[in-house]
Amino acid sequence: MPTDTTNAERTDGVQQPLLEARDVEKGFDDGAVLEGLDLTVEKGELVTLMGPNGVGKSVFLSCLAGSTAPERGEIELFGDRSPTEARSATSVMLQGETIDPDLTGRENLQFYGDLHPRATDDWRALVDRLELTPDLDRPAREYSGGMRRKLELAIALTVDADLYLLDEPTAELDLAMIQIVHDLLLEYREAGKTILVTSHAPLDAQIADRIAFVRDGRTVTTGAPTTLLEALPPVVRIRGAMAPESLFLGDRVFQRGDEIRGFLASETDLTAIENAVEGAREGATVDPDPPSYTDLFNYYTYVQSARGDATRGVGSSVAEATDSAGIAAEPSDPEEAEHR
Amino acid sequence: MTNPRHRSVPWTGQARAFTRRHVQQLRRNKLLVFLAVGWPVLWYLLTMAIFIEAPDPDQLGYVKAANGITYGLFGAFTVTVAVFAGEFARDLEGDRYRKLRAIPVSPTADLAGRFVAGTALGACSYLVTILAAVAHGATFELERIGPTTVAILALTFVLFCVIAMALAMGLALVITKPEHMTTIAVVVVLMAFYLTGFNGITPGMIAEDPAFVNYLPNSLATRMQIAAWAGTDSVEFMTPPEAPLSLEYGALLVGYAVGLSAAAVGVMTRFAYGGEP
Repeated sequence: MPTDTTNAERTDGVQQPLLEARDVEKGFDDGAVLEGLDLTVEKGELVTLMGPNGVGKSVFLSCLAGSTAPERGEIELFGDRSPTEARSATSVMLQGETIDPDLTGRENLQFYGDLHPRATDDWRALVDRLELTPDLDRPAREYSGGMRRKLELAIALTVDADLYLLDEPTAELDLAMIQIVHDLLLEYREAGKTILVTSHAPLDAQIADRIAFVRDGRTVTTGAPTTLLEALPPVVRIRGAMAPESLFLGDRVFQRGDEIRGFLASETDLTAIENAVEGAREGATVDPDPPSYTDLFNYYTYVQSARGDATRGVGSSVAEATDSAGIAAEPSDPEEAEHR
Repeated sequence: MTNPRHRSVPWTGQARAFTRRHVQQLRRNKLLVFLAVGWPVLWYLLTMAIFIEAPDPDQLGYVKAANGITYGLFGAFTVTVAVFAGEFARDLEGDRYRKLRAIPVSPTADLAGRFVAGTALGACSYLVTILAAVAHGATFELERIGPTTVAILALTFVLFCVIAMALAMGLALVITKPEHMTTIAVVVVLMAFYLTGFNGITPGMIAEDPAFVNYLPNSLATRMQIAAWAGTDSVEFMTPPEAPLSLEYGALLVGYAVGLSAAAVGVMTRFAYGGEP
């Protein structure tokens, strides 16, 4: 297990954020990807950056890692370092073909380990836990997608870094392996490491100290998972029938197994939905249900934006959601962010 | 606290990591092993069987030796270009440089590691072809070869490989499909070989003034090697132009290597480590 070596305190003893990104913008030929993204991560936090595919999570992580230069905005790591200056203290897992398919798993570990100044010999224990040991001497081109993710994760976690930037580490993994990865990340956090994980899998929300939702290249809200869950509008579960989508927030419902779930607008009575469903099918039920992480993901990914587009604008819908729950949308003012 | 601002693995350690990686890649690539070993030997044997008129038996061993050197360099040229351009293009096309840019790695260490691996593979190709020529009856008269000649042979070989690899980087930038790179590299090397009169040893096959074979790097290096090995008095078959065994021609070859290496550093810094996706 890596040691805790970070010190992100100012000389006056005031704790500084370990990672502070302000108003980060980045675009490519086909348009803007990041449009003023803000994020603050404190030392020792495990933060999950969530959002659907294509909202710029990976690009943002590349900017934090020093791999891609943002066009505008500021990124400070460990108090006053740029991402490039902080590379020796960070370890990165990026999506894509970063491992060399012509090398074996073991040779990939050796290659990247030889290049990072804080690489350790912990890779044996890591690949054991990730159940990769029997395949280490096979060329990586023969690996499945999940095996490649595990190898990339092992390469990143072998480094005794202060900050880990992990781009969708659980993608393509089965549920049992996701649990192992979660356990590993929690152990690293317990050891004092700071971890930023991107994901579009609601399952990854459960290990986070804090979740930040990204949409349209911006952070739309951030908070502790329980706080965000409590802030959600009431969730309604319908079984055995379908109700008009217009009765739900954002005019959207979501299928989960044999049930339909949606968010109840404040002006909509549960009875109105029950009346709409009644008679549609015998045995249909309408119940309030505690929100899940999937509901949380769906709300900030699909419903909130639809509400904003359709009615009041994204900004006000964030404000409303956060006001009612006592959580804060990511402010653009860094001082405000520090007080959060 | 262990957070010095620019801590990184020593440059030599980084270069060694890149060299080892490329040697490991090449070991598994059967096509490249064939290109390194089988390809130049095949061309040597074909040339001796089809293109060379039966010379005076006293001269046959020397003709075989000259062709051994020519095709040794041809093999080194092929394999360094194919390997270097192919691997660099694959790294650019894949996401390896996104990861490498996030690690404190020196672009020149990356380049040096690739150069060393490419030169080592080129040396294997060169030596195997020479050995094949020896087995075929080539006369090298090793007892006549002094330290100066060995130094010239070694230096021209290394410079030749460096030039080939630097040119290959340009090729990798232009050809964005790594899967086609080996084929394209072989075609480019064959074209260079034939357009310079078998790398300059048969300037008579060039219709116009063949003086340029003393100025293009592939033919210049080959002609320097043969002249150094056989002596300038024994290479009438590849004159005119004059055998390029002088300091001026050596400086020209060094100039090519230095200039193209500088360009390669620029390419590596700008396109691989430059920060754009």
